[in-house]
Amino acid sequence: MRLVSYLRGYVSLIVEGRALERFINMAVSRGVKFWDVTYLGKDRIILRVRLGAVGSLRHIARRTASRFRVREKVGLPFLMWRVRRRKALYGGALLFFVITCFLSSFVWTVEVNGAKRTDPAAIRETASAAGLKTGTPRWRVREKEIEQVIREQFPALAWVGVDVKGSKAQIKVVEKKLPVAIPGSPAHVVAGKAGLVKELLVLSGQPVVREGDTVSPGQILISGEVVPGEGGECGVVPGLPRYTRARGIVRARVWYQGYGESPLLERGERTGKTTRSLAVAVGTRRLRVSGPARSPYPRFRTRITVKTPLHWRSFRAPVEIITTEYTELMPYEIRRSQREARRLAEKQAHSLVKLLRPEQGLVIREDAEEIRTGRPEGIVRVRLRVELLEDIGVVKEFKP
Amino acid sequence: MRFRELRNQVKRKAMAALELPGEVTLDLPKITLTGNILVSIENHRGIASFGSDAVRVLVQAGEVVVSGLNLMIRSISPDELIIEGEIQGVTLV
Repeated sequence: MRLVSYLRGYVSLIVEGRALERFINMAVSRGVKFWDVTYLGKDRIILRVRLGAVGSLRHIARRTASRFRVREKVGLPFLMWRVRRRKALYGGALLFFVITCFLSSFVWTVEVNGAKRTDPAAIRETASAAGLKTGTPRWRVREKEIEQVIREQFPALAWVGVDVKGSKAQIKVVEKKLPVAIPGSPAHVVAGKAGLVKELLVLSGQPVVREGDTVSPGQILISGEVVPGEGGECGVVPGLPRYTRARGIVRARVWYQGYGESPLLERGERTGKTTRSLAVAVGTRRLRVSGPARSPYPRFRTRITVKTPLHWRSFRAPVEIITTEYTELMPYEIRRSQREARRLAEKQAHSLVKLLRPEQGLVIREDAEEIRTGRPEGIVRVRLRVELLEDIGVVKEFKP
Repeated sequence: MRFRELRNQVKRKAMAALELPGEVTLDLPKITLTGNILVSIENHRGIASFGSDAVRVLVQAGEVVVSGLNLMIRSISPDELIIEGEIQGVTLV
């Protein structure tokens, strides 16, 4: 209600006269609404009324022999009048609006999304040749046509969508999923890591190792060079090697070792609260803007960052913003029992092994062993051995 | 048949009349007092006199006198009049 009366505008009037009641009654009966009618003194009242009703009040005042004068003007219409007087401001606002509208009717950025194997720059170039580049008026962009051209130029694209949003044009592309070419060159299956061969399944090629063999990394497991023996199929010359792409699964037992340690008594420093201090340096003078001058903590770590905000190409204004960050350091002490320390050390060793071992692979055995040095050290050391059954075969191509 | 219809009509009218509040049917004022700070008078006929200590409001068949301190008319429209201030009495004359 307040807002509405503000938007429509109202005035505060001082009415003087002998028959003020008659003035009010007459106005009210004609549908004029008053508010905040206050008695000021004999035959003098102040009241508020909406702006549009002032004209009809003049007539009523004449008939009831009263006078009124405007004491206060409140509301948007009065503000608008004031603005109307300041033509330059008005014109400036209008000009700003017009320029904004004008500039926003052009494409200013062209974005290419979804191009992984295709070069986005090449797509942009094609689009620019088809009539979509920085500075093109928006109404000149023919989306369908540009899509067509790009699709024709790049057969690797399955779908192209051009979308102009505001001053940004977005070219969305979806690439075709091409089937992975099956390489046909001859290859061996070699050991990727050292281990004890447990299972051997040959799909093609000649097995070179047997189950139970220990292999070292790089050693051929299944050879792509097949030498047929005597009494084979017809058409195969014995002794003459045939080359194939060896395939197969070689599961081997592989060992991983991890080590972890944990002291029984740990001392260190932990970070706590952080306080930031901001300063501006002009030339050699330094002015603190906010934050403390010195660290508020007895033990702390400082990090100082210097930024030069006024920096354009080779020009550098001698103004620096220096941020100093004080981080509180709090000493701490943790006492662990033998069991706790051992568990922590094992956990550490486990996480180390996790980094080395592959995700797949079956854990066959796992044992943690405490290393004892013979003298009391106040530290628990653990060695962890994990044995995994995993596929160690790696395809390695060769030239016959 | 006709008699029954007529009787029903009269009945309905009487009930409708009973349902309606007095301020509408008899054009009586409805005066609402909120604590001692606000009086709202609906169905008024204008004001007879206005001062900071008493406001006389014309209503159907008489006047309502609102007395108090620092009275002011918060709003006045053809159908409602709201008086604000430290109200001490509302008298029907």
